[in-house]
Amino acid sequence: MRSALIEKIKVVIIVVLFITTILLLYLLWSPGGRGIGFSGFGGRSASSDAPTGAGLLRAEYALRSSGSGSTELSYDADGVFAAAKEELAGFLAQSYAESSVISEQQYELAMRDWPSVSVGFGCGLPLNGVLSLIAPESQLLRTADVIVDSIAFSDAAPDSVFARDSGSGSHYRFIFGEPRESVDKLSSAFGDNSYPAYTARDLLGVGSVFLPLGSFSELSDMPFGAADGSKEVGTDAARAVFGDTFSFVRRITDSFGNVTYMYGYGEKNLYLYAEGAIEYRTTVSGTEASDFARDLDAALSFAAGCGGLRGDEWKALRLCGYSESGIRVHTRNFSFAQSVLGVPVYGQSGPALTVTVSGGAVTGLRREGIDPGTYTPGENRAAASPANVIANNSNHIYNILKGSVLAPASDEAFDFAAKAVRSLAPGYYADPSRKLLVPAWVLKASGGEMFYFDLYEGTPLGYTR
Amino acid sequence: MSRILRKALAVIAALALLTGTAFADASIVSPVADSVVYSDSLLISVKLTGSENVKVTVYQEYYESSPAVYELQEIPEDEAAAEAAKTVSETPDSGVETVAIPEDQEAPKEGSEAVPSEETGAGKAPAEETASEKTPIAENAPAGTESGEPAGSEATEEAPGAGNGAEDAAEQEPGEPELIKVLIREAEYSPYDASALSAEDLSLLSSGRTEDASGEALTLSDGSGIPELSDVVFAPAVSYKSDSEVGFYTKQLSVQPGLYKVSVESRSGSSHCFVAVKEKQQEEKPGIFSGGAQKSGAFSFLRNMLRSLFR
Repeated sequence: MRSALIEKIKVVIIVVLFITTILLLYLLWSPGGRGIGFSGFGGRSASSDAPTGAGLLRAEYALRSSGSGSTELSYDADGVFAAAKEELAGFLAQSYAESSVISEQQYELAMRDWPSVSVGFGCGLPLNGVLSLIAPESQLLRTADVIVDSIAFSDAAPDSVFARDSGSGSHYRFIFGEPRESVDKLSSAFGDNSYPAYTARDLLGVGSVFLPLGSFSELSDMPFGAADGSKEVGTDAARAVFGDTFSFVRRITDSFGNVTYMYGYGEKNLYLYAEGAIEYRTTVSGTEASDFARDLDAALSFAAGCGGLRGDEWKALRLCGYSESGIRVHTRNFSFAQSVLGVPVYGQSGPALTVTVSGGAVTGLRREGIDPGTYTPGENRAAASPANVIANNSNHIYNILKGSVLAPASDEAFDFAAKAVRSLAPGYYADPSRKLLVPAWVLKASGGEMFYFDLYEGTPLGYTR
Repeated sequence: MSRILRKALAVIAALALLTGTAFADASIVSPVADSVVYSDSLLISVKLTGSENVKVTVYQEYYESSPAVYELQEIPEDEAAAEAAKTVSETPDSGVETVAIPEDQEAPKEGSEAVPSEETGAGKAPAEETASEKTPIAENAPAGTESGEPAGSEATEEAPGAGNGAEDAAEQEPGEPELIKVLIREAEYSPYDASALSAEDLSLLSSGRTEDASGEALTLSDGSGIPELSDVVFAPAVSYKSDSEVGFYTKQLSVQPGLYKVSVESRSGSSHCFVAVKEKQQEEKPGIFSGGAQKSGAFSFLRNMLRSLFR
């Protein structure tokens, strides 16, 4: 009798252990399970000071069409984008949504012949990622795995949201169950600081991007210094990456004052440059299946953990570039520009912060912020005509994008340059030789390259590949 | 050797300059030639290739809606000279004017229509602000000759916007009353109504042809004949110079419905294009999206239920 009872107890224990094993396997290893978050070997956990991805998602420009042939463009698009997010959230709260691909002609008719408002991001972003940032609780359109660089609303279809990817020339319409008065709400959020705008096809004869006919600005040169590149910040970044003990980590300092931290035989490297830039690279990528929103949060958490940007400095950042690659291991590159006086700042090496996330883990980071000096407003004067900025510098753009040193035929260079333009907006270029922030037209090409031209003279200042 | 090299470089530089000049060109990008625009604003975009200096003028087309009316009156010889010396301003209310009659033009019959001069190219523009403007061509038009000459000669007077077109008064024997041509009512010009014009009509107007190969008069799509149009300056000539290989002159104009002509003059030549500005019809616009989310409630309910099951 006693032995039978003992046997029964053993059976119960084995069954409980078996079930516990199954549950633990599900929790730790399944994609739908919570798992246990690893922040890489060594390093601190995610910083609680990091901003959210939704907070850094901003519109570069807004377009409003009257439906009678006139279009206005505004670079002060925060108010319109806030209204657009409200409308998107309202649509996503409905129970039904359908996706369809429409032709470029249909899209342009909807935008031109009916009152419409659109907001542009200045770079291509995954639509499902953007919608998950705006309405995380909604599951509508989560399978819409397309890249878009603008979102629009039109009275041609009040029950729909339109989107476009000017890089691939794709146009989409997302149809919801109930119509909304989106155009009226966005139109009322449009500010007074807008300019008549036309497509590049109307102005130049070729191209699809909207360009202002002319604009005015008060931006003037501003001195700047490197962001906080102190030793303390560098050490904090190193501790965030390698842990407090710096086990198996070597520290190398060169004669220029650049410091390199290397883990093992180079599996993880942290470079602290003398001028204040920080760069991190690792050959070890993650293995998680991830999505845009989670990778974006991981990027921001890692960047916050490395220190150097605090409080209000985070608010000045804006998502300005994105690219993705890889099939088995998804790799995403996020670029964040620092804003000064409401316009983004770009340096010779590009935006202030770029982070690479591969398989859910950060595999690369470069931070080169600037500390703006005293600003003296300039007089309100006319900026260089965007049409002539493209036309006059078409040879320069062609040679850089093609990697050619020979002067091409002017028509060939012009057609190529006009078609390659993805966006043109005002910003600041941080001239490293003069240590000045120079007002500039920032031209983004379809391949991610960026060109900077003087805002008032239209002359080339630099470029970033 | 260095002298030869310098000469060779100078020749090469001269050739490069000439080549740049020879291949300089100006073309109208916007508006598209012979197009119809439904907007209250008109975009002008001119592409300059090579170092080029251009003059861009925008005209609005007018047509003679009401012809000038003349009649021949007899005036005693001694009063003819005094009458001819009067300026228009001295007789503003009489409605009677003496007009110049160049020798090479025929006098219209009494009560006939006036023949507008080809030189001025500018009819009487009804808008006051353009009435005092002169087209570039009109500015170069020969002014009327001095008045005050003896009767029987080409006593002339420059009447703004008035058409000229009759020859000298018939020769009279000394002592007899002189016949003079008197303008009773000036020709009236109105903006040409382009609402019925199609793109093919605009192409026809651009071609300048009035007859086909067989000599038959060409007509517009609505059956009317080719109108005689007069250019009235809408946007005065603007000179623009581009120093780069490719440059653009751009401008936006607020316009009313009508027919406009954009003219570009450069060293390499001139070009123009017509554009008809029409008012957008307020009728129901045809839907550009067929179908759409016209699903029945039951279907959408079933669809959503199936989706939620397999989510």
